Amino acid sequence: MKPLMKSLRIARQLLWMNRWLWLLLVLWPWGMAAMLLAGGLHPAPEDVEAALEQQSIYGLALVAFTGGALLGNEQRSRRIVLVLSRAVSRREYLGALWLASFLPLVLYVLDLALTGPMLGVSALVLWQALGALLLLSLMTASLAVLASLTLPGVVAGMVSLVVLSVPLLLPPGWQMAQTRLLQVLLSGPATDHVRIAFGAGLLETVVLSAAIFESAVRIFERRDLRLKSE
Amino acid sequence: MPALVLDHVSKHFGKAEALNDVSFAVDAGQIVGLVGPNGAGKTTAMQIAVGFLLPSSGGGWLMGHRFGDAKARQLLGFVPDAPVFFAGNAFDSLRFAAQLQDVTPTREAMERVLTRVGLTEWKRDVRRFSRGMQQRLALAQALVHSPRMLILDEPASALDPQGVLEVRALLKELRAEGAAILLSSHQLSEVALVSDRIAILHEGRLLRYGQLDELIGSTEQVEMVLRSFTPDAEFVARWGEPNGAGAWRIPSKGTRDFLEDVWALGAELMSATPVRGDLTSLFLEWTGSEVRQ
Repeated sequence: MKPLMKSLRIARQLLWMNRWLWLLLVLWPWGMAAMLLAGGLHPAPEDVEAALEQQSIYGLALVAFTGGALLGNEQRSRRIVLVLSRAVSRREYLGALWLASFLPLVLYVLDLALTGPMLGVSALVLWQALGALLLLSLMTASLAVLASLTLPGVVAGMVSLVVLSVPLLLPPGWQMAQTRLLQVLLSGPATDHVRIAFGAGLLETVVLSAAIFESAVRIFERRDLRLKSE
Repeated sequence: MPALVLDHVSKHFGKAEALNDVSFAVDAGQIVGLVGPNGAGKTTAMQIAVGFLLPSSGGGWLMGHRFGDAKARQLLGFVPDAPVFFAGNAFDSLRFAAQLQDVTPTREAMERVLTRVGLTEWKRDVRRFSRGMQQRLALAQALVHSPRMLILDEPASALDPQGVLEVRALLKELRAEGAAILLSSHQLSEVALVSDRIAILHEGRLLRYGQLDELIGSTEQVEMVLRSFTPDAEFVARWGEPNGAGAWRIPSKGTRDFLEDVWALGAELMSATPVRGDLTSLFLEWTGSEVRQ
């Protein structure tokens, strides 16, 4: 429990440092809802679904780019020195980065869950899209943290999104549950075997995310911090 | 076991050699001063001890744990050369630092530490502090969990003279309480005043390591002033030219040979004054630096 508490404490500091960015992003779904409802007209279902799809992709991008940028920012600012000179392991520190990139997404998903019904999004469409977004974000956060060990922030974010999309390119016989989740996110709700896809997706994403995070920890433990000398 | 041991530590950054086979130790109740010109490897040595950098070869122990082990840092207080902080006031900063060391300090304990380091401004956002105040706060963060080992990289570089005196007194108090302290500073006189042992680094190598008295003793000289004496070429070749005051500075162990040469040339000795070196002259002599006017 202690390691998680430490990671959460560090993540809280990181989130507070970037609070204006998070706030803006968390307000985004409300802004979109306001635009679609402007003038008292009820938007067409196709418009609403397209907006939800777009916002889900923004959500993934949010996780990828923040997860990719945090380590570099903290090394550049040297705030990492303040944390890692204390009884904090590299694993706990990467855990904090992971949490700081994933937790805003939870708020974002809550926002979408609240604004969706206001726009008349059907429950099926909404829970599938948000479920897929949450599961894929677990993986994206791990990929972004791993990529940020070697790549600059924006590139790390882009690489993690590209790697996340790889299952879409797999031939039909090789498709993973993740492929189904990506399809749900990009093309709307699935009606066939959706419970199986989500159940397998949860298992697959948790296992893969944990494995990717573990690889990141192993690499980070064997690397020097890149500190700018004064 | 010493609180900190560097055991044949080398560090390379690509082809550049930052540290080469450096070994020394810091015992409990002892202050070791780490001095050297810019780029000598002081900060690299400290960053390896704290676990920010991995040694290319060799290794060491911090509080009985291998470098890099988070448990080792539980009893460590570290002040970096340029402290930075997250947002918040002095109490927020101290609480956060302490919590990362598995300590939850009371308000009174935090006030005591802040008072001890001479920080009187507690409520402002610490990122708006002057550099001197930030250095005091970094020192408070390093002390808030009562560490047994302190690694201080230029802890007083931004302090006014009064602040420097306060830090000196604080270091002596901490040593008396049994803390082991590794102190790096460019203020050689300060290092000399508080350190029990000195480690001189130059171009990544440990040139000297020992008690200040021993190190200074090894460079004792005598200043010889002669009357009615014009040195010949052979004398100059052996003892050099006189300095601006017409005197020769020679190693004290060479006094007898010098006097024999002087008497052989018929000169008269006016005075012989022992010249005791200080850390600055020692530092300049061993690092090959020249005093720049």
